[in-house]
Amino acid sequence: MDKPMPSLKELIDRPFRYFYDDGLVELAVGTLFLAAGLAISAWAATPAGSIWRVVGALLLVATPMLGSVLFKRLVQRVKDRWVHPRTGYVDYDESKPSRARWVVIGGALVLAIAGFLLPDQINNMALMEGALLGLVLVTLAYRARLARFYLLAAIAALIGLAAALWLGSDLWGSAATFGATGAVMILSGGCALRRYFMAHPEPSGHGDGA
Amino acid sequence: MSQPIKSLVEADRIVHEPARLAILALLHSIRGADFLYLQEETGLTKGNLSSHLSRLEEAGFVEIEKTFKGKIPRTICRITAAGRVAFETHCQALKGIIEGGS
Repeated sequence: MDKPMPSLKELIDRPFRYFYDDGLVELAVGTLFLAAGLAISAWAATPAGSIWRVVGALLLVATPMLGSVLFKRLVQRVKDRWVHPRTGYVDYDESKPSRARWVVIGGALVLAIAGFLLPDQINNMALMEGALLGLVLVTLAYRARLARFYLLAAIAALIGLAAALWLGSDLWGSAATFGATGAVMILSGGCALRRYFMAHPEPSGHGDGA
Repeated sequence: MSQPIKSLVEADRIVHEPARLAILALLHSIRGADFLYLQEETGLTKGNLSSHLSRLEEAGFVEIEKTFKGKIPRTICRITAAGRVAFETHCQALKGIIEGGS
C-alpha cells in the first residue's frame, strides 16, 4: 500500500480540511486583510480633523463587516461552480459550537494582557495582531491538518514582530501587519487553487453519478 | 471469554466493515455530503460505494436524499442519530479492544 491508512480521527476531520483544501478561503480572507491594511494606511495618511478621516474610520468598520458577508457568498458561489462538480459537496453543520473558537478567544485575552506588560518603545498593536493572526492560523492548521497554515501562522507572527520593531505608529504597524499577511495569504491561496485545479480537471459528465 | 475478545466477536458487522466505517467517520462531523465527495475521499468505485451506502441505509445508519442543484442531480447522504450512536459505540469498542480495557 502506497499511503499509510488514515486514522478514524483523521477521517472525521477530513471534511473540515476539505473546506480549506482548494485555497479559496485563503484568497477571500487574504483579500479582506489586504483591503483592511489599505484602509488603515489611508486612514493613517489622512490629517487629523479632516472629513476623510471620518470616512476612513467608517470604511475601516465597514470593510470587515461587509467583506465577510460578501466573501462568504462569493466563496460559496465559486465552490458551487468549480469545486463541488469536481470533488463533491459537503453540507457543514455551522450550529455546532467549536472548541477552537474558545482557544482563539482565550489566546486573544492572554495577548491583550501581555500587551500591557510590553515596554513602551515596542509597537504593541502590530505585535498583538501578528500574534493573534498566528494563533488563529495555528488553530486552523491543527484542526484542518494543513501544513501550509502553520507556515502562514509563522509568517503572520513574524510580520507583526517586524512591524512592531521597525514601524513607529500603531496605525502603520497594523496596516503593514494586515496588508502583508493578506498579500501572503493571497499568494498561498492562489498556489493552493492552482494545485487543486491541476489535480482535479473539469469532469465531463453531469451530476454525482449515484 | 475475556471482555475485549467478546467485544471483538460482537462487533457490529455493518459498521465494522472498513469502507462503511470510513463513510460513517466522514459523515460524523457534518450535516451531510454528496455521493461524489464520499467517492473522492474513500476511493471506492460508484457501484461499490452505492452498495455500502445501501447497507448503511437499510440498517438505518444513513439517510439518502436525491436532490437537484440547478439541473444537476445531487445525492446527499446524511448520518442518522442511530448511525452516530453505532459509530461512536463501535469506536469505543475498538479502543477497548486495542487498550485491552472494557
